[in-house]
Amino acid sequence: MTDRSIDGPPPEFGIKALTMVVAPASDHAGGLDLQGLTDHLSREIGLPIDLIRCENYGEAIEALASGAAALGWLGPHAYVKAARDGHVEPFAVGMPAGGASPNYQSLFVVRDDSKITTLAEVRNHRIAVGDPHSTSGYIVPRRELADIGIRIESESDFAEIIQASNHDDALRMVVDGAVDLAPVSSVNFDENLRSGIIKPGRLRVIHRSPDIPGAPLVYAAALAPDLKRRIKDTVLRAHEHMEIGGYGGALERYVDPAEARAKLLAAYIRPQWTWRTYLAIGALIGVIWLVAVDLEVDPMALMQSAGSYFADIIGRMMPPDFSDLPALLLAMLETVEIALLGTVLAISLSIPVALCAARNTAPNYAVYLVARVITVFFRAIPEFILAMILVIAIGFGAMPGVLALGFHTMGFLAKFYADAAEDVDFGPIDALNSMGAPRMQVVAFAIVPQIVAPFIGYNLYILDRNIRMATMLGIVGAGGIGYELQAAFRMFEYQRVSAIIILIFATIFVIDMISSRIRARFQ
Amino acid sequence: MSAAAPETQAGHSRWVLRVNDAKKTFEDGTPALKDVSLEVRPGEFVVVLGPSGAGKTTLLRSIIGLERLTAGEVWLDGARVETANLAETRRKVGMIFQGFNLIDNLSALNNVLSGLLDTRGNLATLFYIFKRSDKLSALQCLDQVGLLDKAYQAAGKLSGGQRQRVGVARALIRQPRVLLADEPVASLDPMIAFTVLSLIKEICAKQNIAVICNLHQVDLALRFADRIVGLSDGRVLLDEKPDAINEDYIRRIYAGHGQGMYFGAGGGPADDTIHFDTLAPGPLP
Ligand SMILES: Nc1ncnc2c1ncn2[C@@H]1O[C@H](COP(=O)(O)OP(=O)(O)OP(=O)(O)O)[C@@H](O)[C@H]1O
Ligand SMILES: [Mg+2]
Repeated sequence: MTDRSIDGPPPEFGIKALTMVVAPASDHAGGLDLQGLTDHLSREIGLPIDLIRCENYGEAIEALASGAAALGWLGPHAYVKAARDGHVEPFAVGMPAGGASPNYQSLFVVRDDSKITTLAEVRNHRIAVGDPHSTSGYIVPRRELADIGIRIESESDFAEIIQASNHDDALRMVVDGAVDLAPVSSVNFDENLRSGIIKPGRLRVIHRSPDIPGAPLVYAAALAPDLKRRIKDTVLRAHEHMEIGGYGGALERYVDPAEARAKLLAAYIRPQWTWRTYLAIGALIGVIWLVAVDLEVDPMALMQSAGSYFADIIGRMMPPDFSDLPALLLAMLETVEIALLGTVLAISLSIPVALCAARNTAPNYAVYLVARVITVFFRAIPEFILAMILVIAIGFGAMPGVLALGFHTMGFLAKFYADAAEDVDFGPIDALNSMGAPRMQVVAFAIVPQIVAPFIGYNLYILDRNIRMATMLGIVGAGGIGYELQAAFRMFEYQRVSAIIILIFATIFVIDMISSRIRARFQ
Repeated sequence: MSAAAPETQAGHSRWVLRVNDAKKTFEDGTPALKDVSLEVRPGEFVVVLGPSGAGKTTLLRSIIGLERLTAGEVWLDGARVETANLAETRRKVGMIFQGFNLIDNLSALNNVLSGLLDTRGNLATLFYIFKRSDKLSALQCLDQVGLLDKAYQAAGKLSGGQRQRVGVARALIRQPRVLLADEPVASLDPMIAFTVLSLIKEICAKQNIAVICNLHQVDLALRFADRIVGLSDGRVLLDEKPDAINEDYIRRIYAGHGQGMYFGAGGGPADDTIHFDTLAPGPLP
């Protein structure tokens, strides 16, 4: 066999015959059929090819490594091992008929009447395992079992471990009751069902491994480059001339390994958005459209006539009338004061409520529930309504405004704080608890520092919104610039209205500048 | 490309990355890099060792322009790195982070695809929609790091080792000339750390990608580095093949950092800092 070198003499590459070794994945032609292909190859390259089914995977690797065999099919694991060692090179991968991917899986099968339903239950049963180089009969199942703490090679984890000579053998042992389960290749399993060797419903699959890439046909690395090229070309075009077979029976064709790899990966492509997403988006648009129709909102009409409306209004508001500025400023100040006091009230009320309304700080569940109800209640009643009720109860002035704002926004703040407290990192809390820190100290040390930044942020936001809302409250008689605004509207003094609006805008703007300064401090 | 860089010395193409007399002083006056010069060849795996605060992170950040050097220059793939060509520079670089820096709520696949965003800034990618060919190369990178079957798992639900492998795949999909890894295995257990570094080394050697990897583990450095650069107090103390490195060298790099006895020559750590405890042992009054 040593004359198989590159510089050997003719005829045809200086070799008189080739040997192809096949790993024992199946024991019948339907499961692993390479005879047709080798006959065709033999005719095309003008050399007889000996097809040898090996007893085990090691023998096949050894034959290719030593030069005793020129061609082979090894299964994935033995192939990777032989390729790592530089003995073999892949040249063709079989594509299953029907355009399926060449990927397959390792299946754990049991008899249909078996009590075993999950992988975890296989412990202490009888198992048939494949050759130690068999990918789906040994390597992959070993990893799958190891993941749940069972060792496939351990006599103490199984009642009995029997070595099957191939996947068909292992399947037979399960059917006959010689073992309780066996890990086998999905290719052989499907083929046995297809060809009727195993009756449907006789066996049950309890576990399926992740995909295993289909193994290539290989040639010995030492083969002459010319010969390699001819073998590869012939095999890749074999489907044009004949029905071809390989691992798993009939194949569509053999393809270049690079192409097979692309196909293998392509089997993993999923669309980013499914039809469900598109359906949901469509439905949403539909609903919005129906609502707009129902409300008789007509954006086109609005856009067409908006120009004239606005020109009219703005014309009447211009120029702003600042003649009564000191009085307006005083009223504005009163509004700011109402908002400030309301916010302070909200903050002081919300802290204890929030601590009771966060699951991790509430003393017990009943308190938690009550606190949550309080926050929802005050958020649910608009401050406008609160203020009206309070005006009736305690009369006109700033007081009802402060109370209305304070209670309403207390509901908001308490919810914000409680949510922030629930979202904190629990690591520091565990650390303090582990050292026995008292409950309130845990809150002060491990929770408060984590939520100061959002705390400051929320408070400033609430202040900002309270100034705007305080303006509105003036309208129901709760004092401040809102009262002036309403009066101006009533008297049709639109120029005064615009002056007040500008004043409000300027105030909010200044407050906004101040609060972003403060916020930056606490980031 | 090389013609566009006339100032480079002859034979520059041997280096894919070159740092010349780099100095970096932070705005607050901290001198992080005092004088660092370094050359890395394509496919070379360079480990930077050095005590905490030596300037390792600053060095990596300066290479891709996340920090501006106070003085000195960086050459990458024949071009000088400057503000004007930062985008181009970064296109040639992949980065791996100590904290993985994955987007937890996205799938492993989309995390890997995010490595392509600098050249895929279109409307579709705003909705996480990528070309089929991009998805294929992302799957290929995941396959290379052995995570093909986790492609659609949310990154946050992967183990630490798996997450860093996604990090590696995200760097690889960029087909970088240079891979920068800042303590890529600092938060992984020793076995997983070994696996992750093996993967990086194997893939980068195969694809001729230069690697600069900051490490704190001397044993891993000796095992994986083609060259070890010892950085201490902002200066390169040594730049050698690992087989030239002995305990003395390591002691020099970590001098005064209590890590001098890493090789376990017996006794406790060689700690020559004076603690007040040594002056007055026992409980405080
Ligand atoms: N943004 C910054 N501003 C000011 N000083 C900084 C900044 N970043 C880093 N430094 C300082 O620069 C020096 C070098 O820091 P660098 O992060 O590069 O060290 P390192 O070698 O990566 O350390 P480690 O091993 O702990 O990660 C340190 O003294 C650090 O405090
Ligand atoms: Mg660092």
